[in-house]
Amino acid sequence: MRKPLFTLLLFAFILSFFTAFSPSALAAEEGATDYRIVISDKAGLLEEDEIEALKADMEPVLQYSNAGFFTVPEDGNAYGSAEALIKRLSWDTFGRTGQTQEDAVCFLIDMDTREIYLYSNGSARSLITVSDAVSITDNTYRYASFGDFYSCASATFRQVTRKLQSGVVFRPMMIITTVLLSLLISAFIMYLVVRATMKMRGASSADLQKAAVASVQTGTIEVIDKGSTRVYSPIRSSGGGGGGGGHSGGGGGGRFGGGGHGGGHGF
Amino acid sequence: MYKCPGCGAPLRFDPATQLMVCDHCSRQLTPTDVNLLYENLSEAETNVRPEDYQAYVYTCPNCGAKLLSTEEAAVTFCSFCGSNVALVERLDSEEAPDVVIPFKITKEQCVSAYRKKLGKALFAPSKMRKDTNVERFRGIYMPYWIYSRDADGIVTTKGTVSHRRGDYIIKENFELREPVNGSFGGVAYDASSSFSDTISDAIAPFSATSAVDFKTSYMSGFYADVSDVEAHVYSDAADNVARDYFAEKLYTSDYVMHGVSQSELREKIPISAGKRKKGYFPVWFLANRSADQKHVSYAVVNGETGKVAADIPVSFWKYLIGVLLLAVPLAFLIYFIVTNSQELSLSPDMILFASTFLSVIFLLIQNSGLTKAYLKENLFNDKGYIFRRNLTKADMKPPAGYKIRYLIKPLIAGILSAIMSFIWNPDEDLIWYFAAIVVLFLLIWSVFDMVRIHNKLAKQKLPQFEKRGGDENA
Repeated sequence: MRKPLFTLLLFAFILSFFTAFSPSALAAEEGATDYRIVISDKAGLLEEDEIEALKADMEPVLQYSNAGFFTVPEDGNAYGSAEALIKRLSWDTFGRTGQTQEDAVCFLIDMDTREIYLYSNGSARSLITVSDAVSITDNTYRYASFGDFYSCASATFRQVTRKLQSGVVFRPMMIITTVLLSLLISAFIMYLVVRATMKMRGASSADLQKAAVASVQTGTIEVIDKGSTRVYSPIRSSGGGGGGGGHSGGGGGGRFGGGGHGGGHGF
Repeated sequence: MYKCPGCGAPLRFDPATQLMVCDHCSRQLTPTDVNLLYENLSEAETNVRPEDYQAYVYTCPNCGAKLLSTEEAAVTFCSFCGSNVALVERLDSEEAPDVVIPFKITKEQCVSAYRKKLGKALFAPSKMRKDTNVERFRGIYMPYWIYSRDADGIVTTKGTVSHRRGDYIIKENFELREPVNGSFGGVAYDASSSFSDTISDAIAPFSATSAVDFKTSYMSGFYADVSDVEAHVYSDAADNVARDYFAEKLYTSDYVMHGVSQSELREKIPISAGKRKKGYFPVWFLANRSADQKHVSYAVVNGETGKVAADIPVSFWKYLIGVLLLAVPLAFLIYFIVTNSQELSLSPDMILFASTFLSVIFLLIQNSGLTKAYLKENLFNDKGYIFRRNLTKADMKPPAGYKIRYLIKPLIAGILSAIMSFIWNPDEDLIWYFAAIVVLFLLIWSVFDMVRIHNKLAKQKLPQFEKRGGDENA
């Protein structure tokens, strides 16, 4: 058993180098597109020159998708969460064709809930995964924490562009935790292998009985009635209808037709 | 020593043929014939009582273990402490057992079965597989007490059946009486405090039908261990096995219908002790000394059935290589799934939340293992050993601090994870990641500790059988 298992592990080890890190970048569509940039700074976080600089940072995204940057002031979020708000903004701004959401990558700085949120939809959804969105906002939320909202937005769209072009997002902490988690899972699995293959198991009572010399003869069982007792225990009447209806659970998707996803971070 | 009547060379008992064999002229005799040839020696000549037999007693100067043999030979290593030392010899008489199960498994078959067992042990140290090591298997007859129990009388049980009639619960009471007459024989427990219960249970059972009347000729080419445990030590255990058997045979639908459980029936069976015998049961025995020379692990093979039981420690370097070989593709797989999944993400708060529960699991596993390890290290897992030394529960309790150096790691990991997940909940990402890294590191260390605890369970301290002074290096 040792040799085949070791061979299998070695094969998996070598194979992993050839299958790891498969970038999921999509080649940009050639030619002009109908994609557009929308910047809506209702919270007044950016200066005019910063808005122009941000447009330049958002330009490369147009090869793949619409790009939107939104800010809302305190008391500006009627939906309770940054995620719900950005979904609504994306839909309202870029709309949809038939049942298909328009391609969009939208970034929100919500001064009401103090959150930043990166949202992608349409074909961009397959390129910016939830994990990517979480990692990017993890990398950029600190700028917002210090009030540098332009740097926050700029860094976000630059990382989005890098992801769209090369499929890579800078996530060192996630790599470290992934490595440690793999070591932990692997160590525990190997420990279970040790326990399974090296444990000493004792003979059961059934095994000992089989090895013995035994016989038994029995007679007819005599059942003697020893009387009975009676205990008063009335059945309680049930009040009202049995069971409750309960609310129907909210389904997936959402009011905006579902489909998009993203990740956010407080600041 | 039995000599061939044809050529005078020594005879030995051959497990393969179950005959006394002369390796010089290939003559074969039954053990009975050989004993008949020698029984004419008078008691006066041998100075041995009829119920005893004459034996050479070999004592290990290192651990005090004793081995018996009907033949005089140089015994150059001890099967109990594994030390390479000449055992001290003297002639004595020993109480002969009533029956013996002769060796049926040859040494070659024993080694083959052991190698097969080792083949499944992925991380066993390489030195355990070496020929020079496995050749040290020694055939030893272990003394066993063989118990029998009789069940004779009336089994009386009380049952109750309840049912509802309107607002009343009616309980009908019954008494069931069943005559029983039966016997249960052949359940055996080892009568040597040097043979731990864990190992003897692992190679059990020996078949009662294989036992024959004892003849010293069966011992030719083998050794025997000294019996030093009284029969009453395992009497309760024999009762339990017999009760289980009778209860299974008696429990019918009548008892079920009248509300009597099998465990209730079991306690009511009238059991009495039948004839008790002492026997020699065949065991191939091997002691492997640890690298630090302070511990020993045993491998035993049932000489009748070939069942193998072995303490197999883990080579930590082999284990680490196995962990890394699995961890690398696993890391790439997790990373690939998480970064390409439409919905999944791997965040530190998820890791810490799961680690809270994982820490509890690791704590429980370690605690259980450490308790067993302490008992085994100190031979407190053998009833005979406990009896011989009049040990109490207080004597066998691990000292304060024995477990803490292991349990502290999953404990800190669990507390930190719980604080982060349920109490603190900070905004700063770096704090979450830092905590996750610390917790994961502690949990990995805990798993390595669990492997170390397994190694504790796979060995025990060098035995000391009422030894007086001296060791291998003295």
